[in-house]
Amino acid sequence: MTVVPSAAAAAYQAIAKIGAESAASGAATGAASGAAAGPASDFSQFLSQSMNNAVQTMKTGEKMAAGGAAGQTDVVSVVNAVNAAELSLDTVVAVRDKVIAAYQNIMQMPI
Amino acid sequence: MDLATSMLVAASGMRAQSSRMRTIAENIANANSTAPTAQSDPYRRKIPTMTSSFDRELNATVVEAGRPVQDSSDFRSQYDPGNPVADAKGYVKLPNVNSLVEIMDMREAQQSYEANVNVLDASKTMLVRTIDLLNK
Repeated sequence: MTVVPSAAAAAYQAIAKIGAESAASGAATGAASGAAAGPASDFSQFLSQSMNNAVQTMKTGEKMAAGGAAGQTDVVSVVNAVNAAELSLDTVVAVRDKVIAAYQNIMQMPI
Repeated sequence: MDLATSMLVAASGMRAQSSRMRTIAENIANANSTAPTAQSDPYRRKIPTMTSSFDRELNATVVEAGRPVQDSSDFRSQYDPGNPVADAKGYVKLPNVNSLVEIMDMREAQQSYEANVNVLDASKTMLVRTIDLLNK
């Protein structure tokens, strides 16, 4: 895989911007409960927030699966919850991999 | 998100078809049930109903299984004078269930369910393929 350093920098910047936006909207709705972070921690904040969301979805999926095993929830709901958990985790992992690759590319740039 | 929403809408269709299937199962299971006494009526066929409703949370129109309504057509009657619940003329009232109609209904429910499963599967594939763009 050949990576153009400028593309890597652009990707990193774009994600940092998404992070800043989501953090801002989270703060506006009062959902963000973490400490007010500066622009330096935008990406880590974004990552931890989306990770929290993914974990929450997975917890719901697990609860549903347990209910399904006990015969309390119907199969359709179980499949849906597990599907949603899988998809959100996939998304977070894919974004993380992409950004870390971009970051590493920047760090390896010969100066 | 539209693809996630379409998955939930398809799930509502699957739920509605399952409920329809339950009503059909009740009809088929009770196709030969007689009344407990000669005076009372036997099992009356139930007709599954479905209504569309707008889900504000999803911002989409989903389907919901309604209460099954009773089929008011006449009961079948069979000449069986030896039966303890037969009337004075020797006829026994049997449920107004036609097995052929129920079987056709069941096939339709099955096909609709499968169509919804396909919608769910296609939506999921689209989402996964999009996420896969990041993994290249």
